[in-house]
Amino acid sequence: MENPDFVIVGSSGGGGTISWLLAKAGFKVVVLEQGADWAKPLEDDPLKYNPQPHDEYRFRLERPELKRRPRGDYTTRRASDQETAAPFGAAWTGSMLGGGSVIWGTWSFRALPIDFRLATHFKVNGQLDQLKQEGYDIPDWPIGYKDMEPFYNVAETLLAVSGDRNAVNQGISSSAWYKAFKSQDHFAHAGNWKPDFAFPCPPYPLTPVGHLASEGFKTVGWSSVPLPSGMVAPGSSSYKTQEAIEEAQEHWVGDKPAFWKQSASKIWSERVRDACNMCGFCGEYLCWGKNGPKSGSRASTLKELADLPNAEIITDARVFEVMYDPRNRRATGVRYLDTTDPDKPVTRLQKARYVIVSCGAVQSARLLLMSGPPGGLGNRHGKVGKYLMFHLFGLGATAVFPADFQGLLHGEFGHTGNTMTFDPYFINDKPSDETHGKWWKGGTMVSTAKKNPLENATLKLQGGLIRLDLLQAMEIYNRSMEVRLTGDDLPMARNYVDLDPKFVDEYGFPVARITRDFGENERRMFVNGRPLLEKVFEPYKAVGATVTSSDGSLKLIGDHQMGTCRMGDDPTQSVVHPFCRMHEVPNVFVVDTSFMPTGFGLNPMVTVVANALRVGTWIVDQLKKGSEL
Amino acid sequence: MGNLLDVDLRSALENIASALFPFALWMQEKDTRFAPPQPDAPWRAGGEQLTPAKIGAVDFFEALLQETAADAGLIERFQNISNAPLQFSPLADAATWRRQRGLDPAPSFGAAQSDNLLVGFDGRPISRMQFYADYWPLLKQAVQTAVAQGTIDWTTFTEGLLIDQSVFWPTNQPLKSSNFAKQFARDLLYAMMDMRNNAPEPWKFALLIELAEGRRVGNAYVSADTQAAVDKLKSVLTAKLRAPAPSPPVLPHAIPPVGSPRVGSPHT
Repeated sequence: MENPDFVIVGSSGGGGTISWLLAKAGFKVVVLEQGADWAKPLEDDPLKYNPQPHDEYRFRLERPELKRRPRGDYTTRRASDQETAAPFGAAWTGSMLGGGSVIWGTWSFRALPIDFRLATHFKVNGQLDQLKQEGYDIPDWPIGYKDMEPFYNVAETLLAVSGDRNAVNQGISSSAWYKAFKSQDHFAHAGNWKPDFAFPCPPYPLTPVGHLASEGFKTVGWSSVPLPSGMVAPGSSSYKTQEAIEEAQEHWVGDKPAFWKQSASKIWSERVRDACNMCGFCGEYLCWGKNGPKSGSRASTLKELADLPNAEIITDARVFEVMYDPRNRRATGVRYLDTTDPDKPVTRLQKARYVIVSCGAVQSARLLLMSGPPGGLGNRHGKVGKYLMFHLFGLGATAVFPADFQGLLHGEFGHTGNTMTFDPYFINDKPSDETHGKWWKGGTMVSTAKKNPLENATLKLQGGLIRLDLLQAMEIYNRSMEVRLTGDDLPMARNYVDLDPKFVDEYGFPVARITRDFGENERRMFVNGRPLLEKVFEPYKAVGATVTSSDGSLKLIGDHQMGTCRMGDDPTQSVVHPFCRMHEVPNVFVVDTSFMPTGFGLNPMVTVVANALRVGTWIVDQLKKGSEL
Repeated sequence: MGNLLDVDLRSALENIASALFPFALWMQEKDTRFAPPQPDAPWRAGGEQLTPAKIGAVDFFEALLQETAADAGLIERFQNISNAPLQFSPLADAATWRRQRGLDPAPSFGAAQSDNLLVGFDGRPISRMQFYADYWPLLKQAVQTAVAQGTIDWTTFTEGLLIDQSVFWPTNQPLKSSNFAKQFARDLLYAMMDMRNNAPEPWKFALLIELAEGRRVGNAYVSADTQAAVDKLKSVLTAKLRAPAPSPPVLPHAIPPVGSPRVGSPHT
């Protein structure tokens, strides 16, 4: 496309959402995605549900792993800057049209109001100084829950979230930490703790694994909540996004921007999405339904975008530079490699008035550091890449049931999670005397089914098991389940992304180097969180279950990558301003998880989509008013 | 059946596959712990023996060799890039660009180390076609040597391969029999569990059936299915809770920690 208004780099929850909104508002938009369009063959197939993606090897084990990493690309990793980083396979979200929102786990949470005010919270409770001494740099967000709330409502409609709002509200308000804080002003006024906007779909059906976790939560004295899931609920006759958006418009909180004052029929087509039928090939897999049972930008906004004459999507486009004109401190477009034939890439230039970066927190930082002056684009204060956060994956407990439970857990039903609890969102360091202990940030706990028997068997084999030993070990997987804590990973300057000085990708560009270690808050979570995780399974010891638990792992990083382009008011301390516009390069925006000042204790997808809607709405408002950004 | 494996090689592979996955022994042993999930399956009620070959694993394996033959080209390209990592850079002067950013003037290409290629048990990138082609003459020689000494006990033969202690494996060459046997076992798992094998049902799913795994290509459920499964679980739980507490199960092996990295690739 000649002279588009916007070029958007990346097509997941951030890029895939904002590109649609801008195009719908009438702007000329080009989306560049480094991966291929994996869903296209299914979309073109006459079958409504094509089982071709039901292939565990292809989606979990195959190498090169093209759904996540472009061929010949990788990252490097080390725990601290005292070490030399080594090539590493993780820290990718998705490399296909729709990005990580195609292969995500669909766990669909809003951030809680206090997540936007963590610095204040820890200050009021006398913990901020300790956290600072421990190396954390925790800011309040420059926006609050109320700024996000109307966009959370819309985001949930785009993601067709299945859930029970009352159960979520009740789950939060009945937790011990909520009761401990609710009389504190900053907490009570952090935002709407009890939103009344109903999820657009009813809760996902309860599975055996969800039931076991739920009963375990209750035994501990916790609430159990059906996991809000980004999927058209099984059993629904269909899902009409337009009608759901209309609901969100009617429940708008605060002043309604012009874009959202249009009738829903002007905003969204009559497109209908089909229900999930619980095939079980979900997280990491391309959904087999051609009409979008599983939510993500490819199933929603990008389909709408493709209908618009003023929008273009280009796949296999690996952007390696945001073009920058230092004379007026503005970007002029991007350069990318057209890797339609990866053996013979072609360099192309895409000019645009505005550039929106949305490649995931690791790759967005890498792109900005490869662009502009040698120190990186918008990086005069050295903040690009800093405050990298991941959630504490690996922190969980496993229950192995005895052999008479073989075949009873049905890990094959639906997606990975099913029931959850908010009770460990803050974890007390004196569990036997909570009133005298301190509450530290934890996260959401979710039931987790065992869904990939081939991958498990292959791991066992690689671990040294063979013959009868291997077969016996393979059995156990079927009668195992987990609860996992999506533990918050508080921001530290010493955790960051930069350009690896040594290692390059297939086309000679420096790969992203990840420097990240756990801090004291994470270690506290391991010490205080693991007993809670194990406690959930305590009742099942009576039937012979064996329970083990594990800490978070530094190697389990990637899906929830956050930080690196912190949002803030102070240009010396942050990279983007409260509408995700770069302080130093005003026509560049960053709308993936990079902008997040803190990381919550839950999946960030809904927040990313909501924020992209918020930023896109602001851009439209500004440009329609005639302001030059 | 393809034409990559000759009759002798196919026969040897089928025997080694059966030794790697001793289903009869396993079923006999596990039947003492839980009831067969499908007692009328032909390998139980029909008197036929369950082997990897009957599951179509060796046929699948042969097709897999062909299907993944192009991997060799990528490995060669990556090896070539390793020798000159900046050769495909689109930048006009990549060396200067790197110098301006304080990057090492002698870069490395680490894709293989990052586990974004299929890696063999010796840690090196492999193309299945090339990998196995190197092993076929050695395997044939080992089988011939064993045959010359009488009837082959395939269990003993395979155990020897797995621990590099085979008296039949050719010496004075660098390839370890264990790398072959483990890679073959890995590919057999793929053949027997990913449901792309070509055997007739229920043989196609035999291993999954014996594991009581419900996962199948094309599965679709409604909430009545999940509710029925929850109800059944509840009834078993209730009955077990009323019974005297059993001893915890003896786990044959440690359970990997939650979120264990996927094969060779630490990952979320």
